[in-house]
Amino acid sequence: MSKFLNAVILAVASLVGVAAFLYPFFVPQPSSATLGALSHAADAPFLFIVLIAICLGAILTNLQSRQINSKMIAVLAILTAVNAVLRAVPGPAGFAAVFFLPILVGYCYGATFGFLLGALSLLVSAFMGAGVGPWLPFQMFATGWIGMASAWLPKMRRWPRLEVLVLTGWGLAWGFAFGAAMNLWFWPFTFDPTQTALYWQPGIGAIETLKRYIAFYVITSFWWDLGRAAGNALLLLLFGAPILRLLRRFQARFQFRVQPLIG
Amino acid sequence: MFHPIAWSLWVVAAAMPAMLTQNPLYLSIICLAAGIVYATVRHTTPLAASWNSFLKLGLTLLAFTVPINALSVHAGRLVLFSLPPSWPLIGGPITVEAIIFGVSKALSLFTLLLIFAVFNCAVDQSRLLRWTPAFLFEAGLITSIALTFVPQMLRNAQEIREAQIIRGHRFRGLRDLLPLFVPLLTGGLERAVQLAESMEARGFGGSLESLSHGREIAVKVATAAGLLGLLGGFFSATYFPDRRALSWLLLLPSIGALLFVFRVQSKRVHRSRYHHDTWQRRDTVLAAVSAGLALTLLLVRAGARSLLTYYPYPPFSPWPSFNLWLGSAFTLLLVPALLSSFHPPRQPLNSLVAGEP
Repeated sequence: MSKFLNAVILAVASLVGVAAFLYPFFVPQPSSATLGALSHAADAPFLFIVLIAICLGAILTNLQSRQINSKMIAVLAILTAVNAVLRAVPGPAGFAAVFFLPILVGYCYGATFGFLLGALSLLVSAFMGAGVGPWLPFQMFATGWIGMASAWLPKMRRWPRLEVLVLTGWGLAWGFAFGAAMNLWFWPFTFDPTQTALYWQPGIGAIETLKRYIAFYVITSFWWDLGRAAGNALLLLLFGAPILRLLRRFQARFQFRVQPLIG
Repeated sequence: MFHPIAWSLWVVAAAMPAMLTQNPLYLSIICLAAGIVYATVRHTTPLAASWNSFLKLGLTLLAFTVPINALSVHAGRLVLFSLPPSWPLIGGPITVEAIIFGVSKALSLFTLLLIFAVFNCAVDQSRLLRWTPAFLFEAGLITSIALTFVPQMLRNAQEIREAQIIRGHRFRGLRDLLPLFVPLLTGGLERAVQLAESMEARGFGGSLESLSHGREIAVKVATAAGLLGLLGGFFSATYFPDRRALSWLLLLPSIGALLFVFRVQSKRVHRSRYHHDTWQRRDTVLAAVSAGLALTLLLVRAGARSLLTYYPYPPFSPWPSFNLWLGSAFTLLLVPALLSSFHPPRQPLNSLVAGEP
């Protein structure tokens, strides 16, 4: 029951998160071109940043009630630190190895673990100098999803070659999906009501918005994301198998239990 | 400098108008104030170097978006000159309105960057983490453990590198990262095992009250229902802006449910403090001014929304309006800079202690 409710909470919070990411696609046409309606469109981004922060709070609070133990905290903290350091290592063309570890850990240790690793390592790396800002809740959510979704891949332990190939493709796909999702938080900030090729306007409908967004994405960030996605996929291809072996070995080692002698 | 809570309030008070108004006059006041504050806090941390380059990136963004906006938007009455209409995309009249709007858009993004640059430079992260609300205490704990492990991790990486160099290992390509990364991760996980063992040995989690089964289910259901209600409320507020009662009917109970959850979870944690943060009078001043400004802004938003909005294209006037009261209220964002120039910060206690023989 409790486990089921945890899954429900994660699912509902993710649903709210998706809505907060995708709101440019469904905000309706203001009833008339008055100043009031325009200003309403302008505060939508602000409201959704608040909403997404509340969602993160709810997920992290829920963690608490499930009697999280010291082992999970210790492993999460260490892996979070490793991932934050990995992100800080400068690569060519904006490439940073953020997805590599959340994908492997989510695949190996499960959805909650993957989500927390993704979300918290972005928080730590923001504190380390990548910067705390309005984009942070969105980044935390998006990276958390990567870790969470990786747990849903079928377990292919018996076919190691296939496993690595699937994970590589997965990393490539997420590289682009992450970039496309992360543009969304600031895209509406740049809307200009008369620029009809690239920018968002409230109420133009989902299809039209999608068309403009694709144009915007291809022009502004496709090449940037290409580097990042390819880099992460390459890391997964080369290092996926040994790191997976390592994670599995430690999974067995973390099964120790404490038996109190007194009381 | 100031207490992290006071700084957080300042960031809220500064970021809210930067996101809510498009008026370039107000935006320039906020931008100027944030810039002056940034100049006063910049020297306190080595992190500022990375923020300087970040801000330069913001400036180049500004330099790009303004001409693009001016060249591609052809609406407006004040025409500067015209490009031949046969040119794709940029052909047509170039207007003053498009330039002003481009500047105000870019200015709002740049101002946000500047405000968060101040926050990142001025706030001590470990002091901030100590103020994690009790219902998030586990997330705060993981974050602070990770932050303290990062320097150790870097040192480990260096040691491994040195050991490899001694053995004549040369770094040739991507493949050579593996002999660095695997020992690093193994060492880290070994340390995690030790950490977990010592946490168990010290009775970690013993002071945490566990919820009864029924209460736990109730908390979880309240969380899920609260989130769903919040989502529904936001949808109804965007789709049916006329039916205010419906949105509030959804929003208020779900906010109540989430507050209940946060309260129940907070009550389970008993925390003791080893290190006490000092709250000085200047923190009170900054917190009060920031909270007042944020509240004023919310009231203006609810009551006189048109004061904040700005839209240069016809049928509206291209020249932004300026309300003297509101404009001077935004100059209050300068308070941190003023306070720290009048009263140099008191010497922190532990540095005094360390100075004694």
